[in-house]
Amino acid sequence: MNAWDYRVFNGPAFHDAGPPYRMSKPARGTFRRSTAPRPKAKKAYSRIDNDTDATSGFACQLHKEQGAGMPKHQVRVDLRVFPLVVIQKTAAGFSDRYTVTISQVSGEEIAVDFTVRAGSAPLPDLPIAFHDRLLDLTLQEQITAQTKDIRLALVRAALAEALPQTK
Amino acid sequence: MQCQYHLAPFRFARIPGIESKILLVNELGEFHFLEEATFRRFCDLALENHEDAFLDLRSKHFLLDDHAEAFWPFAVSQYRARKSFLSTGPALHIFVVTLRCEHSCPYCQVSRQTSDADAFDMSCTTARHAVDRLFEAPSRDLKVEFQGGEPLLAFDRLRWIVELIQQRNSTELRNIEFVIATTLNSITPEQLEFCRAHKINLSTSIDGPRALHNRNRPRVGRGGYERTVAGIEAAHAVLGNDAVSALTTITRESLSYPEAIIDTYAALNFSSIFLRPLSPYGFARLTGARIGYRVEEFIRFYQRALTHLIKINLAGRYMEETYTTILLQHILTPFPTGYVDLRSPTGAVLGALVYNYDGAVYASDEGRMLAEVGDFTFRLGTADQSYRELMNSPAAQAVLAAGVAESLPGCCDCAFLPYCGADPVFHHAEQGTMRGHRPSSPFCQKQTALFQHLFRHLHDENNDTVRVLTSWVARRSINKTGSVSAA
Repeated sequence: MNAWDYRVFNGPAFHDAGPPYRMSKPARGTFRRSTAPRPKAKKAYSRIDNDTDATSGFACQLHKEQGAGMPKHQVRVDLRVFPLVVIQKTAAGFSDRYTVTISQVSGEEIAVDFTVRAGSAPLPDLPIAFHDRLLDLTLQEQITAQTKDIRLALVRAALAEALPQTK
Repeated sequence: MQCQYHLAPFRFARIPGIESKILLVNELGEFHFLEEATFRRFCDLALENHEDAFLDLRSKHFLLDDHAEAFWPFAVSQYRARKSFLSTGPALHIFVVTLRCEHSCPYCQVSRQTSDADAFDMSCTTARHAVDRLFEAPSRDLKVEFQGGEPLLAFDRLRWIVELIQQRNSTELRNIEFVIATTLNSITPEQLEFCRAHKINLSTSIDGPRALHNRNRPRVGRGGYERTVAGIEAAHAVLGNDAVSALTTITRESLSYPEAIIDTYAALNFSSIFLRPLSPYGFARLTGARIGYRVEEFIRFYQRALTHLIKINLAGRYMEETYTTILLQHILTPFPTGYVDLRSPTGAVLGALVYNYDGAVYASDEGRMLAEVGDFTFRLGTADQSYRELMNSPAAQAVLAAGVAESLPGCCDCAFLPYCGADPVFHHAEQGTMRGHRPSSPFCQKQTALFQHLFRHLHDENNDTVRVLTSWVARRSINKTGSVSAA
């Protein structure tokens, strides 16, 4: 890990080396009725974004490595906060520009590594974009789960008589 | 007073350019914009029942409260209407009566054969089998489209098929619409009279002003533009303006001339134009590097074209962009369109069958184009097999398995899903997998950009652009004073 490094909340360390990372807008998409356990935020979190809801639970760490070849980024996400499927979906959304690798760092932490594809332009705000999309997809996942029964009932009722009748 | 309510299924999106609001789209295709804070309170079940947002969301079926009994009949009926194409089976039946053509367009998706190559015409036996399959399809409403090559070069066979279908239909009593996709270069008064007598519509191609059209569509003996224009004028005179439609294929060179292309259509008395990007099918794939472009370039072209069209409409002349109208119909009405590429489950197989000149049956027109370069993935069987055999073929099953957008990665969480489609044929051609990889899919990129552009307009309900766009759905023109009249 070099260049710069940050931890948004609840992290063991917060390094000021390198350019400061500041959320451009409040963390979004908090779905307070989630049953997922939410760790309490610590002061480091408010340093990143004073307006952010302390329960939003963005547990992301980013490393930008400068070396030979394509620049690499790493985002770390806390599995206690974000379901694995949402991390996978979010990471997949960036796979047009980046080669994305997901690996387990520890029992509670997932690392998502991004390497810019040859010929693709890297996003200038990858951590913000990843963070925003992660929150949105988390919320979407919760809405989908919560409304699943209604959706199934709707589809079942609507299509019960819709099978084509051939001669 | 805060009340108890449940969320109904919906997805949401952030539209670039509308930073303060979030777009919500429910399973029924209804949409609503909410401020971020209100959206949070809505998801937290914290809206109060006297709030405008609560009342709006309830009326648009985004939530269920104590009045849930009012939700279900409407929601079921609307979802059923949106998916009603499933109950009819394929309604579009394409007869490729010949591959012969006098043009050698660089983006043509199918094989180009000389005019005297009778080996590339559909035989009577194949045509008879295809007509049998047509009437085995359960749909009451059928559309028979004659494709090529240039179908008018095999006019005798085409006429024979039309008469055979009409003869059979005297007992079948289906609602059948005929369309010929033609360059109109060689249409004769006799052929036009036949079209008039049998209520056959014509679909042709004009790529823009003379120079652009002739460069895009080189023809043996030259003069393609002049011959097409002469054909359009003759067809308008005999069949009426509404019986002739046209589309333009956008090449790299076309990107610089959106206004000139539209003005050409206006000068030819068309009330619609279909701005069709290049397709990655058949031989078109081989020329793509020379005449192709990136999705962003097409979107910039499209936005310029739409702006020009809106100006024309605001000046009192009705003229629509057909693809935009299809998207708007999906957004603003619960009724499906006949456009098979934007269906989920897929319109290939379920919406269309293609009978090729050689007796093969394909899941879609694009499927037979792929076959011309040796990819037979979408070949369901042959015309002498029964409808049931074709629909149960391994190829059909593979298409259907990949053709439900609700189950596809990237699509399942997309707010535009109710308006969009899976298009497994495109993704197979472009990405080598029917399921596709949405983040890098040009189809997905194009659709997302178009939906975002339209929703940026729809966000402001009271502007002139929205009046024009909604007039396209209603097929009514708006005049300079703002009132509407029949287009």
